[in-house]
Amino acid sequence: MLKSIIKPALIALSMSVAAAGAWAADGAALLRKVDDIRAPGANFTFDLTLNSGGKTEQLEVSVQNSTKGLVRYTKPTKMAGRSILFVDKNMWVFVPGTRRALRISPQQRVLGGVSSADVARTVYSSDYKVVSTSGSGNAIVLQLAPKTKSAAYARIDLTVASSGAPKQAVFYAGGGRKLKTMHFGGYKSVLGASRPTQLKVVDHLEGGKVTTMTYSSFKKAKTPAAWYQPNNLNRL
Amino acid sequence: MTMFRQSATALTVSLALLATGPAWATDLEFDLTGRVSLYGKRASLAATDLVPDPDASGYQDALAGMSGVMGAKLSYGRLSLAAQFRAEARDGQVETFTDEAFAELLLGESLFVFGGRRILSYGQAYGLNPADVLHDPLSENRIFPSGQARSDVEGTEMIGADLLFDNGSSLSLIYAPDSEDPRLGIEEDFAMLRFSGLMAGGAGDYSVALIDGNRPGAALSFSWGIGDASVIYMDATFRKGRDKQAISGTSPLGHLLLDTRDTDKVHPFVTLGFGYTFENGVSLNAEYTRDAGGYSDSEWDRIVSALDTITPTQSAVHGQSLNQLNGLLNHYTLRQNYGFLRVSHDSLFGKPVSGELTVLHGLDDGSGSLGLRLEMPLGEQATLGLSATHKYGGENSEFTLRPEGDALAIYTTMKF
Repeated sequence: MLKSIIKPALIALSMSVAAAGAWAADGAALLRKVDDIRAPGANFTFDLTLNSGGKTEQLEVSVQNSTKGLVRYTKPTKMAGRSILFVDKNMWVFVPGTRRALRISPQQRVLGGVSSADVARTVYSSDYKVVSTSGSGNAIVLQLAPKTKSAAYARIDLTVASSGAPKQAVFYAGGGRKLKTMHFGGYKSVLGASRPTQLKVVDHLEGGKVTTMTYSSFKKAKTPAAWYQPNNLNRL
Repeated sequence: MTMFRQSATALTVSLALLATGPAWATDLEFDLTGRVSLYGKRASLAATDLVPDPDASGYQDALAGMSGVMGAKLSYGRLSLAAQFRAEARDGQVETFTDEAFAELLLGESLFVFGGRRILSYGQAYGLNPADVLHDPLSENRIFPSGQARSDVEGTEMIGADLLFDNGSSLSLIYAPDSEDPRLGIEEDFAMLRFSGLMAGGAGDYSVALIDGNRPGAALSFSWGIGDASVIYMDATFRKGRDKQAISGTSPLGHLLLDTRDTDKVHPFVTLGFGYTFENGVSLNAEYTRDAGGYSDSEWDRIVSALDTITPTQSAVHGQSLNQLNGLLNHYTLRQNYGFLRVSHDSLFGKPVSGELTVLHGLDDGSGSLGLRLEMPLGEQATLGLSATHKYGGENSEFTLRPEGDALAIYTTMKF
């Protein structure tokens, strides 16, 4: 009698564990697809234009080994020479007048609702892992949790198509507070794949204020290692 | 000094000759930047025991001026030549400065050698920064934000090298013979060897430096990111000798007698800081500074006692003593313990207006300085700024020693 209850229960449990494992594995694979679409390789450069409330900033971004990012301001003129450096979990800002690189947190704002991490971090899987997957077809929702405490967000709900194309990301703070929603659009063929080139960021803490991030001029390029040094930012 | 200038010039020429070899010949790049600032300031002035006649001492309750800065950088292959020239116009008088003029050469993949006049800055602290050993904070024009004021100063003539490693660490050496000690105002042969690195496995970096000069010792800095919004940091120096002299007594003729600078004793100067970025973008920095070289309560009491008894019109000796005190107290900070707070936001009220509130509070006597700055863009290239300062404290406390109390300044800066 007991055997007849325990056996099916164990089978059901093992099936559900296997299914959950498969979901997690699928989710992780899907997240890698998302990253492959967002970042055309481990080493590349691109231009980024930020627009928010009539204010425009132009940036040149270089990525090395997926874990290092250098953001250099080119416009407006009054911001030229400023840069943000991201090396693994470290982030610094260099303002030419201060003559030194200062450590900042990933939460530090760049423009509007866009944080330094949004600009400098181009892949999710470095900082986040998939903890659950729901939905299907062109609206699969990956719930992401940070791998380390230094990640910029406590939770991300990432909606993706089965192809891995990201459609929307909702970012949450530690207490479950919704911070911003990022809409991925402007898909274009870039370096051999269809990639989003325009992100609309809705800042829920600022009454829905919208900041647009427009990506262009993607190039696969290996930039010098010396660029990714806080003590070298004054030379760039 | 002349010999060093000749050496620096010779080095610059040598670097230029080295870099013109065909193996390194690439495109010539030239970058020219400029900045013009106009400012006006009103301040309340009141006679103090230290400065009984503010007008005669050069203090002004109304001030207008213009500052122009031009930066140029020429790069050719592995060589770069950089310079910053500055002109300051005030009260119909114009002064010009060569803040920077140096040559730098890249040898191999990651060794930079340089020579000439250069502005170098160190450390993480926003308020009092012990690690910024080549800088005198009194030289800054604080009408402007720190990101501008720190740059508009005359650099130090030096030769040096930076070796950058692929793992993010670096080794730097600078040698500045016959330079002016920024805190003592006297000549010194300054040298510093500095190693900077990233802390393994975490969001942290550190720098350790050995210093040789009038006040030899060591400097230590670190900063560490905690979670997604917090940063802790420390900047410290441990140097032999004080940058201040205490009063030890009075001569039979009435002149003030001064202590030695305790040249055999190490004086820690440490700032501990915490930074936090709120979800709405507000940034906060809170710092505590301990400067063992600052005046203790008993030393300060002797200074105040001297100020109370000096009547400059009474005799020439009193006038000389007052001048002596003015020289003695000519430092950015004077005491031992400070708290500093900075709150800033780049987009106040959802508008492109940045705001910064700063408080430097002396924990030894309760006096301090409160500052408020607002800046807004004027088109693509210009900004309009407003800065207000309020100084508070009892009579003859640190921040009320000098005549300037409250001040309001308006400025505009155009970059091109």
